[in-house]
Parts: sequence; C-alpha cells; structure tokens
Amino acid sequence: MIQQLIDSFLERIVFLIVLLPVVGAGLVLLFARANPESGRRVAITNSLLSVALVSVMLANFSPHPVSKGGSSPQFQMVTSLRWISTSASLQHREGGLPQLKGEHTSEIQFAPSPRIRIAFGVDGINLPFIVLVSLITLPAILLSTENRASQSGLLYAVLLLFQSSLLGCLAALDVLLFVVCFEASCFLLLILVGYWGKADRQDAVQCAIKMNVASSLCILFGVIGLTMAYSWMTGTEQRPKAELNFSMSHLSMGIPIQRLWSQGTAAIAFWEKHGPWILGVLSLGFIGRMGVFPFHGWFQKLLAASPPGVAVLFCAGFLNLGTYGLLRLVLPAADVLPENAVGSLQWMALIGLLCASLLMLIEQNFIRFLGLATAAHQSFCLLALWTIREIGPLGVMLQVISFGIASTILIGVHCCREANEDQTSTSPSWPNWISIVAVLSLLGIPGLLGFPAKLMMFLGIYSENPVWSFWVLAAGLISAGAWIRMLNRTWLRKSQPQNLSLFTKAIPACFCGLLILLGLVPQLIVSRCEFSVARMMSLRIGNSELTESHFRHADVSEIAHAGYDNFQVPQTADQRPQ
Amino acid sequence: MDRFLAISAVFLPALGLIAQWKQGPFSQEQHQRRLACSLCAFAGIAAAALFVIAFRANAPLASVHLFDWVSLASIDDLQIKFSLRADLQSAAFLCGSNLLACLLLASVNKSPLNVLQLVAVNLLFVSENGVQTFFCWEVISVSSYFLIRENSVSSISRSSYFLIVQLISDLCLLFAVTVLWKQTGSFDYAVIFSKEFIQAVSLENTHSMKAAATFVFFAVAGRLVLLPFTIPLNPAGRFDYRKPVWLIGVVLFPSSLSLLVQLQPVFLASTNYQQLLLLIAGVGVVSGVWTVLQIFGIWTATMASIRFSFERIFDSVVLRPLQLSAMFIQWLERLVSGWALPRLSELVSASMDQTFGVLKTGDVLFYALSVILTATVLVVVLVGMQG
Repeated sequence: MIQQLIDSFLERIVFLIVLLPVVGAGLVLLFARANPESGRRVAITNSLLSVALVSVMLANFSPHPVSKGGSSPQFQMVTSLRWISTSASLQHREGGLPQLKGEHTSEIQFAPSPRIRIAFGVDGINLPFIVLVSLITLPAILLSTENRASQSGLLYAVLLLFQSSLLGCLAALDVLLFVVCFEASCFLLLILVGYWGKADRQDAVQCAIKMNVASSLCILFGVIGLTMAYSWMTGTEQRPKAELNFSMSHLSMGIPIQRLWSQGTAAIAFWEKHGPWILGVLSLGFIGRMGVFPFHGWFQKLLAASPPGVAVLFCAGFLNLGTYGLLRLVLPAADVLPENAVGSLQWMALIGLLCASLLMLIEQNFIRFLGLATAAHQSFCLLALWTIREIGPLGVMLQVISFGIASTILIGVHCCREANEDQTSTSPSWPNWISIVAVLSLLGIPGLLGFPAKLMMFLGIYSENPVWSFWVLAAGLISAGAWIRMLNRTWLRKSQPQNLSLFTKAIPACFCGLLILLGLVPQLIVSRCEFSVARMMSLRIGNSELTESHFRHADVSEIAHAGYDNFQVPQTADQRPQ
Repeated sequence: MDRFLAISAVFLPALGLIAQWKQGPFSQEQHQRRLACSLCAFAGIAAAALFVIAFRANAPLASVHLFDWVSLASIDDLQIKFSLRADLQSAAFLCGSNLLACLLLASVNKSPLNVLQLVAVNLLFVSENGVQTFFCWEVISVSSYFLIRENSVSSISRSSYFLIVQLISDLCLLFAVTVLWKQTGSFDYAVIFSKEFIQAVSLENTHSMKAAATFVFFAVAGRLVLLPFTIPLNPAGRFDYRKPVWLIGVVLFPSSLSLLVQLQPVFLASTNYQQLLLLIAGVGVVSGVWTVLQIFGIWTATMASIRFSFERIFDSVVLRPLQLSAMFIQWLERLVSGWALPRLSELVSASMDQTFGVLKTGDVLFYALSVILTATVLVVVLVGMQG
C-alpha cells in the first residue's frame, strides 16, 4: 500500500512540481493578508519544497528508460489529464492511434476531432531546464522586496505563478499547453516588470510587448502549421485527414520519422513543400524570444528595468524558453530546412556573438553589460544548436545551466552591492570571490561548469565548420577581455556588504559549489541528457540507418504510435510502412 | 605499488592546502612552510621511485584511472577520462618539478595558488589525453594570473595583458587538440599517436598535422611569453613580478617542455616542423637569457623606449580598431533603436490604435487579448476544418 502510494507520487511528480507554485501563490495571498512577512516566508518555503521535489525527480530519473514492454519511452513520470476532447475522438482512440499511410484500416465510424490534454513529463531534453528554473526561484524570491504596502504578498504570488508558467512550458507534452504556458509566462513577466520595475519600465515594457507579440504570433502560426501538417501526413486513403494531434512527442519525433521511412509518398512531398515555411516561422518566433543579437534590444531594456528577483528569473529562466523550443520542436525535423536558411541562421548567430562581445568592451553599466553577455551567450547557443553532432546540443544544455547559475550569482551580488554602496574596503571579501568564480565559469575556466559546456559546444561547432570555430574563439577572447575589465572595475577592488544573513550568504555559496561540482563531474548531467539528445540528433541528421541502429541499441521493440505521450518507432525493416 | 607512487607523486603536494588553515597545529608560518616543503619532497621521492621501477621494467607501467569526465557512448563514442600515466618520461618530470618546488616553496609567498599550480603541472605531466592536458594548461594560466596579480607591484590593468596572452596560448592548444580529435575521433594520445595513424597521416594528410604543430608552437610561445608575444607583453618587465623563479622554473617552463615532449609526434609529419622545434628551442634560450638579464635590470632602460613604441603599435593596430568597431556597432544600434524602430513602432501603433481603439487603456491588456483572440480564432478554424 505504502509502496503503491510512493509509486503513484513518483509517477505524478512532474505535475506536482508544476502545480506546487500555483498552490503556493494562493497560500501567499492568504497568509500575507494577516502578516506581510508570512507571505514571504510561505513563498520561500514553497520554493524550497520545489527544490526538494526536483531533487526527488532527479534521483528517480532514468537515463536509459525501459518500459515493462521492453520499449524505450521518450518521456518519464508522465501525468496526462483530459482537457478538450470529444466523445468521438475518445471512441476512435480506443481502436488505436492514428495509423500510417498504407496501413490497413477497417472501421472508422466517427469523424476525427482534436484531443488536447494537460500532460506533463520529463526527458533528457527538458530535465536540465526544469532543474535550473526550480533552483533559481529561491534566490529570486530572496532578492525581491515588496515596496508597496497595499499589495502585500502580491509580488511573491505573481513570482510563483511566473515560475509555474515557466515549469509548465518546459514540462508540457501538449503543444497547445506549451503555447499557453509560453504566453502566460510572457504576460506575467510584463506584469512583474510593469508593476514592480524601475523608473524606466514603461518604455521597456512597451518595447517588449511589440517584440513578443510578433514572436508569439510566429510561434502560434508555426505550432498550428506543424499540427496540421502532421495530421495530413498521417492520414490514410479512407481518412485523408487524421485527427489533429497536439502531442509534443508525436510532433517532434513523428514528422522526421515519417519523412525518413515514407520515402516517395505524398506525405513526404507535402512536408518538403510546406515544412520549411512552418519550421522557418517557428524558428523566427523562438529566436525572437531568445534575445539573440539583432533582437536583443527589448530584453536588454527589460532587464535593466526589472527588479532583481525578476531579473534572475528573466535572464536565467525565461530567455531559455526559446532555446528549449528550438531544441524540442524545430531541431528534430530541421533537415528539411534549406541549407541557405540554416546557413543564414548560423551566420546571424556568429555575427551576433562577435557584435555582442565587442559591445561588451565599451559598456559601463553592469546590468546592460550582463544583458550583452546574455545576448552573446544566446548567440553561441544558437550556433551550437545547429551542429551536426550531438555534442553541440549537449554542450548547450550544460551552458544553459552554467550561465543560469552564474548570472543568478552576479545579479544577486550586484543587487547587494547597490544596496550597501558605502561599505567598501580595499580587498575583496568572500561574496566577491563567489562572483569571481561565477565570472570564471562564464569564461570557461577549467574546474567550473562553463569549461565542459564551452568545450563541447566548441567541438560541435568545429565539426560543423572549422572557420566558425576560429571566430567563436576570437569572440571568446574579446568577451574575456571585457569581463576582466569589468572584474577589475568592480569585484576585484571593492568589498561586499557584510550585513547579509547566513541564509542569504549560503545560497550563492551553494550555487558556487554546484558550479565546481558539475565542472568536475559533468557526467552527472551528460549521462541524463545523452540518450534523449542522441535520439533527437539521429533524426535531425536524416540518416535512417543511424536512426535504426540507435533505436536498436536502445532496445526498442514496439510498433509505431504505441502511446499518445510517448512516440515509438518500428524496430525492424519489415514493420515499416511501405 | 607503482599506482600508489604515481598518485602520491601527483597529489601529495595538494595536502599542503592544510597549511593554509589559520588554526590547528600548522598555525605558525614556519610550520606551514615546513609542511609544504616536506610534502613536495615526499612527492619527489615517490616520483624518483616510480622512475626506478619504470626503468627496471623497461616499459610503460599501468595507468591509474581516476574517473570518467565525459562519456558519450551513443553516437560519437566519445570518452574523456582523467587518468595518470606512469612511465619514465612522466616520472622524470614529476621528480624534477617536485624537488624544485621543495627548494623554492620556502622562499615564495604562502598562497593556495602555489599548491594549485604545482598539482596542475603534475597532472599535466601524467595526462593521457588532450582534454586533460588542456584542462591543466588553462588552470595554470588562470592561477598564474592571480599569482602575478597578488605579487605584482605594477598596476592591476597591466597584469590583465598577461592573462590575455595566456588565454591566446590556451586557445591555440585547444585548436591543436581539436584538429587531432577531428582527424582521429579520439582525444587519447595512445590512439592519436599510434604508429599506423602517424604513418597514414604523414602520407595522406599532412595539413592537419602541420596545423596542429603550428598551434602547439603558438601555445608554447604564448605560455613562455616568447616571440611573437615577448616584446609588447613581457611579464617580467611589465609586471615587476617579485618571484619569477617559481613562476618560470616550476610552472611555465616545465609545463611547456612537457607539452612539447608529449605532442612531439605532430612535428614528425614534416621535416620542416622538426626544424621549427629547434627554432622554438633557440628562441626559448634567447628569450630566457633576455628575461634573466631583464630581471637584474640590465636591459630595462635600453628596452624601455623600444617597448613603448611597440605598445603604441599594439594599441593602434589591435586595440583601437576593436574599440572603433564596437563604437560603430553601438552607433548603428542607437540609430536603429533611436530612429528606425520608433518610427516603425509609431506606424504599427497607429494602425493598431485604429483597429483596437477600445483597448488603448493598457498595452499589457492589449497584448494578452490579441494573443488569446488570435489563438481562439485559429483553434476554432482548425476544429471547424476537421469537422
């Protein structure tokens, strides 16, 4: 009985991780009415619970999952609830999931209709992002201070809702749920900055709204296009349009597998004609949200206007949603994109990296400097994402965690500096040293997490194009010079305030320890992400033999479309649709 | 036994960090120095014993596997492990370095950076793959920078030049390692420098080997601040480092020499590069003599004017164009964000005001409603099409 309860808890843990901040937000509002300080305590407790749940999830995450049937599911710890679904679609579902072209279909009695679910799960791709968002929420709450007495607790409640929307977006297994959480996170961010931000917030929010409306529309059109395309590709002769499938798993894995194993059919002709446009629009939307160099103005302004706690979640959490979207939805099917389009994206990323690094040389304001560093980081990630080897995207995942933790430390320490500017001395004290460690990690110094991240991204880029890797190193050198200049101006000279509480001191120290631990043993992350990234990349590079051999290695034995939330692929050649 | 000796020879000096504790049995400075020197002496003796065992065995001993750093078995089959190679060459380097450190630790400033440098150098001597070598190489760079920064009487910004040169050296080594990895698919020296591979590459593809050799040359030149880095950016002359013997004798020179010995097969691809190796040695000797003379202040006055002119050239050729290009990009950015985007946004706002005049009250509200409305309409259209 107890074992069953534990198993049930573990199966639904991702859902609980997403739901917990929403419950916490309600509790904060409830408690803060009586005593504003209790609202803050509830928010801190909630974020600590969130970290504990994520730790349990991490401990139970299997790097090479094998189900009872011997198959290898894409997602683990899946919770799936019906959201929008008609009885027709349910009855149709009982007879089996949409079948491939050419397969025999006997009885179709009901018109297909969409089935949209509230489904959450975790795999090697979203795992590091979820862990990061859960980790950085605690310092975000600690750095936030309520400045309007009449709105006691509201800031913490909105912050927790913001965290929940970020987690929901990352863990969603349904694309519509993904889009809803994506937009909700943007909406909550704008509320946070617009209401609690600094003096210049109005201009920043207006600028952000315009950019985000454009990218939201691109993402929306792209997702709907992807859904419709998959529906048409999986239709049969009797039923030309299959039911609309919003499953993240089917859309990310199904289309490239359809393309690989249905050579010469109408489905593939359709995808080759329309796929580039759909993926192009989707990519533009995600890149707009990433804050890559030409599109970095909005987020730099928003970052400068954000209160410190929001800046942490914005810089280390929100901007990663674009990277995650590209990884999840665009990359697996990206081989359909024309070489010119991919080349243009890569050149844009490279130029963005160089320009952002150059601008860092002359920027004086620290927050704007960090904004430029973020733009450079995002450009670097974008460049490494398109590499042909799995080592590039794996490096991106490490880099996302490294940058997230380091930027959280830097924003936190900078915030404390501003609050206690008069307390200075000649030598740096220990919070300064933690900031220096964070900067060294950003520079990719060995022994810290930035080193394996940048090394793997560099190796991926070198495999793709050695000339680019030269420019990447040049940009790295320029940004290193800029960071050293910033170090000499700030943390290596002035001391830190000494009146911080032990709890506030412990958080950056823990983060610093995490940077060192993961830098020395990056295999802790790599082993958990490797399987999912390898599966995705084997589809991305369009090599059916490689795909087949990879999935045989993973001991996949079930037939295609075995589950809604976990897409399976045929094992042997005779099971493929002809 | 040989594994124990190898681990002792590499990591024993790290116990010297105990000496940094301010309380306990080693609270007095002389006790701290004695402990650090004794540990280095023991490490040197262990390395000497290892040398004897390897000499008598007349073959490389079994390497000590520490841990798998990164292991990607699915597609790339990439495995990077940290291990200690025990053979004559590494034992000789370990013995020399540890004994020299034992002699010099008594005179240098007490700092954890000294210990860190020594362990990094020891790990470099025994590395079996390119990533471990690069790891140690970069640790040496950064720790040297902080050591110089702590002990320099010059301005802080000047010591940053030293770090930049060291980073260039790191990047050169990274390129060399990456070129070899691209050719062989492995970072292990045993695979990279196997006889079959060397023969095949020498016959078919010498360009990659030449590239690797060139990058190794620049890595060593940067590390020792030899030509072409020596004149504008010499550490001894510019940073007035108080203890150059430790930095050059224990850290920079042995690590460079070890790297050249470890990667010397890349020079075998072409006889020209064997000559280049000799050139490196020649430049090293000249530069070393010059550095020693400069330490004693003999050439300082005469070289000051030359160095000043080189600084000017470096500033005008490298730094100014970088700053100018950055300023140009900033100007472009301001032009776009200050002139073009406001006009574009005015146009968009005007058209939006006409369309959504009712929703003027709040931009955020407008944003949310527009997205929700568009999503709803599209979903309804989709469902309708399916029906």
